[in-house]
Amino acid sequence: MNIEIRKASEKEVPFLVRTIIDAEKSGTSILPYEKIFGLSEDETENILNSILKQNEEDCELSMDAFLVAFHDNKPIGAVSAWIEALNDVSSSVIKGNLLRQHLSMKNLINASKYWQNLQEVHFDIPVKSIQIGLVYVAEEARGNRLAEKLIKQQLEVLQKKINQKEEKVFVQVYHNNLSAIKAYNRIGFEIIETKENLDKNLLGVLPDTKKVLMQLINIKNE
Amino acid sequence: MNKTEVISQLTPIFQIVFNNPEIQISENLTANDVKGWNSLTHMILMSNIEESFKIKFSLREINKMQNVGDLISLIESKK
Repeated sequence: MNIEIRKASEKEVPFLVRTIIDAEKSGTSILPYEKIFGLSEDETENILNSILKQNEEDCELSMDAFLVAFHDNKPIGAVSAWIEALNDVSSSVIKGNLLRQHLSMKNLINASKYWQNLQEVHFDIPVKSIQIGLVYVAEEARGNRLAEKLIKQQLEVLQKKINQKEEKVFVQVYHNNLSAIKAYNRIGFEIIETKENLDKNLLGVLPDTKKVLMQLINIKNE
Repeated sequence: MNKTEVISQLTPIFQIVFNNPEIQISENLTANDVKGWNSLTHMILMSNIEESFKIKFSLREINKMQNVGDLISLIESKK
């Protein structure tokens, strides 16, 4: 398969929206944006579309954070990654600011039912470390280790940007996403921390109530 | 409104949002220093601050905030 990998442009925004939604569902039918904010999938798509076009840097919803793989000029996979607080503003703060612009008080009141439980499955990521965010490969392109190629290229790009190879690299994965955990293992990531919230309140809100934090220990080049 | 007044109005908002009655606000405090400061708690925090101080932040203003000192200065400039 002849594949070209390059930075996302505005032309790929609809594909990036699909990437975010599919990655957030993490192999289930649960879209956390819908459940947490009380949005429909169409409303979520419209909000993500507007946010990506704004292209605020250094968070998982920045267009600039995505590398896209193309086959015959058609996007077939994408991965977002960024350096945490590169410009001294946390990626969570940037993401929260972007989302808040598009949400009503009703959406936030809906979210307030969950925020305390969600805090318990949140990992704090060290400043200036690299975070791998959302990963998606179109169904027809699966089985080619495309996600691994995209992740490795992201690491090269970001390590060059931060100008060193010693920075830590993290990814957060839902515990039930075994294929993703296996793929990260193949690259050289290992689970370093697990968080779970068993409160009934979170059932059906997230793809899994257990999350793992994986760190790149030793990159494997096959 | 001076800095001390802003801090005393901000403190209970932080304590409620982060579910931590011990939290103390300082100017060099950042989101990365506070347990549980994620995108969702940030949205709730900013909305509660806007409501409490009867002000509105623009995206440009809040995306530049590196620490609580910047937040305090921004509130002071609007009051």
